This record gives sequence, structure tokens and C-alpha cells, in this order.
Amino acid sequence: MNIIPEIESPLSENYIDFLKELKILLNGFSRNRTIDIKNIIIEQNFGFNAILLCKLISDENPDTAITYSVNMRDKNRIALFSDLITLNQLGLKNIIISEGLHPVKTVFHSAKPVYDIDVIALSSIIKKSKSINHLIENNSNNDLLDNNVVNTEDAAYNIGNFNLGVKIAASTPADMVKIKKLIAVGADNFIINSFTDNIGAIEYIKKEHKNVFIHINELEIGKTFNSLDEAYAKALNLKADGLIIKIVSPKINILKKL
Amino acid sequence: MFLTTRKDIKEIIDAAEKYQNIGIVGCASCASICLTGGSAQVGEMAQALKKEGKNITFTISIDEPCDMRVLKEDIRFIEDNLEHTDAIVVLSCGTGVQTISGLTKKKVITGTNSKYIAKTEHIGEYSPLCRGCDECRLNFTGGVCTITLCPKGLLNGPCEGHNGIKCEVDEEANCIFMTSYANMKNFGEEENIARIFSPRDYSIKIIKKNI
Ligand code: SF4
Ligand code: SF4
Repeated sequence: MNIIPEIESPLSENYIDFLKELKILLNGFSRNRTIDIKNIIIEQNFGFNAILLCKLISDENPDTAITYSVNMRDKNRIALFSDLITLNQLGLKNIIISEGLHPVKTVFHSAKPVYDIDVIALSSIIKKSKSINHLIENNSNNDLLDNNVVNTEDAAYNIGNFNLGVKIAASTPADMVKIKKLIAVGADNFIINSFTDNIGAIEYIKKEHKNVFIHINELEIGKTFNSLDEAYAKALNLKADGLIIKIVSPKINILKKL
Repeated sequence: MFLTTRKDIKEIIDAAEKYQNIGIVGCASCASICLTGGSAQVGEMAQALKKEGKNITFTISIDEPCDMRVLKEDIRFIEDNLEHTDAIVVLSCGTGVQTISGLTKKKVITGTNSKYIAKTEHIGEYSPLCRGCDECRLNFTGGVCTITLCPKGLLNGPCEGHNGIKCEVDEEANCIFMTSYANMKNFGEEENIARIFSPRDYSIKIIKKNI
């Protein structure tokens, strides 16, 4: 089972320093433990462009799987499709989508929340669209097109094959319905934000041959969990495929403290 | 009922600064229920503007200032006063304000903020229930509006932020998808529970202007 750091793209820090810190994090951690870091998630929030950062990290760490994480709060369908086209052309095929924390819960209280499209609709479009044209056709169709005809002449034009993760809650029957819809539209990875109240959901997702990742914040270590090992053991016990740890700062973080 | 709240009197006084002769129109329908545009509020507004040295040319409460037919009828009562009026303070929703502006061609000053379509529990207690999205989904959502009652306006299910019951954004309210699911389950609407909505079509909101 993997431990996967999730890091927001930096705000003011020089991105070159940030990349150096990441390299230490990736190399240092895999030296010290039996658990390798083979994956890293770069989350777009307010800050340096996360896709650009994913590309830079991927160039420097060809053996590490890089995942771009984006929310529905900040981008409308046009901007999200632009992201998909960019990721596709850069060969970055791992993406995580979430609805995202509402602006009133952030420092940008007055910002207009976008939520033009939700996680299920975008998942469906990502999985059903094989080309840029399909993206456009599917953006407002009542019956999303499931068109498998691929333009073989232009690889960049072909938009399919994203490895799609979705952040979900998993504690209520309404969440279970959402999980079923996401499985129906083809989401690959499910990121659950809690260890508790989710056994049924995890079992269901695993039965459908999809991956489950437990998501925690590094600040929970020492509070909710005595140690990272305890959190890891719990995730392992749940048969999760990975433990995602949101790193608040790449400089001083739980992984480097080990 | 269309919910409005009162504007700060200072904003109204500032907007009226250049105008000496002022008429005041109230709304005897929604704004009256919300206590923003009833006859009591019209009287209070007249007092406040008089204190600022303004000359009040008329005060009137119109049943539905948003209804051009009613407005045309009622405006006849103040036709003469209108001639000597520089600006009209309107205590109604934005629709009433613009309808009056369109008919009288006078400077209008709104005295309220327009919020949303709401249910009246008691006078002074209102619950928003509809944003007028132009594509009503209540037939498929267990009779509750997730566009209005989910702060993210989601269509296809709860976000990752609820705590099992309460909403991530408004911690005093339940996540509306829990109610939606419970209602649909109760009505045996399995097909609606499984329904996946496509993204909203905002093009239909580009409405024909006829002002
Ligand atoms: S779906 Fe909601 S916002 Fe749209 S018309 Fe119906 S009640 Fe109003
Ligand atoms: S918790 Fe529920 S009601 Fe609140 S923002 Fe999320 S989905 Fe909407």
C-alpha cells in the first residue's frame, strides 16, 4: 500500500526551491522506509499553476506517478476542458477531481463560487469523451455521447484514457448513491476523507474492482492518530490501496520528520 | 414570495443626494410581507428623508408594482405629483423598481436588496426555496431544490465536505442531499435516485429583454 503526499501548489515560495524540497521529500522518504513514495498529488488551489508544476516534477522524477488535483469551485467547464487538453498533451494522465471547499470557508470569502459542473457530470464527460470534439459535444448534452471513434491521426487530439480519481464522502446512503453513479460513469479511484463510517462503501468499491484511498491531513497525526504508522496500519486494515496525506508545508512535514 | 431586505438608510440618502423632490412607492405584496416595503416602511422612509431636508412629493403603496397593469392603474393617483418629482424611492424588489423606472422614466432609487423566492414561516421568518433557475428539477429530486439549498448548487449528490448530516458551508443546516435522498426513497423513486443530471444549460438564462 502506498503513502501518497498531496501538496498544494505553492503560494509565494520560489517554485525552484519548492521542487528541490519535493525531491528531498521523494528521495529521502523512500530511503528511510520500506514504503516507497511512488506517487505524488499536486493540488491546484490559489498558487503556482499546478499543471506546470506536475510537468516539471514529472520531468525531474520520471519514476514517480504525478497526479493533478483540481476542484469544481474555481473553474467552469471551459477552463476544466482546457486543463484536460493540456494534461493530455503533456502526457499527464492522472487526475483527481473534487467539488472543493466553498469560498466562504477559505480566505477568499467573497469570491464567486463556480460549480458550473459537478464531479459526476465531469467524470462522465472525461470517461465518455475520446476527443476534443466529444468534450465539446458532451458539455451540455442530456444524453452524454459515448463515442469510441478516435481520431488516429492526431494523438494530442485524442483525449481518452485518463486515470480518474474522485474525492467523496462515504458515510451516508446519499454518498453510496453518488459512489454508484461514479462507478457507473467509470471513475477509477475513490478518495475517502475519513476512516470511520465507510466500511460498506469501501467494500462496495473494492467489489467493483476500483481503488480506494484514505485521505488524511498531516495535522491529524498526533491528534486523531498517535503516529503515521497507526494511520497507515488502519488504512491497511481497511484494505485501502493507499493513504493520501495532505502535506501542509513541503518544508517541515510529517514525512520528513520520520 | 420574493424576499427582500432593507438597505442601509445611508445608501438611500447618498443615492438621493442630487435630488430634492422625492416620491416614495411601497409594495403591498411581497415587500410588505418582508417588512421592507409596507405602508409602515413607506412612512418611516418619508420621515428619514424629510430629516435630510428633502421635499416628499407623494407616498403610495401599490399592490403589485411589478405588474404593469396594476402599476398603470395606480400611478394615475399620483400623476400630478410625479411632474414635480425628481426621483422615486421604491421599496419593492428589483423587478418593481425597474417596472416603475420603465413606466415613469424617472430616476429611481431602490430601498431594498432582492434575495430569492422564499417561503414565509411567520412575519420576519423566511426560508429560501427557489432561485428561479428556469429548468425546474423538483420532479426528480424528492421535491427539494438542491440548486437553492445546496450552497454549491450541486445536482448529482453530496459533496465531500458534509459531516454525515450537516452541510459543510452552513453548519446549522442539514445537507440537502440527505433530505432529497430520504424523500425519493420514501416515494419509492429508484429511477430518480439513480438519475444523473447533465451540466446545467446556462444559455437558457440569456432572456429576451423587453424593458
Ligand atoms: S429547480 Fe430549484 S431553482 Fe430551479 S425552478 Fe425548481 S425550485 Fe426553483
Ligand atoms: S454539504 Fe451538502 S448541502 Fe452543503 S455544500 Fe455539500 S452537498 Fe451542498
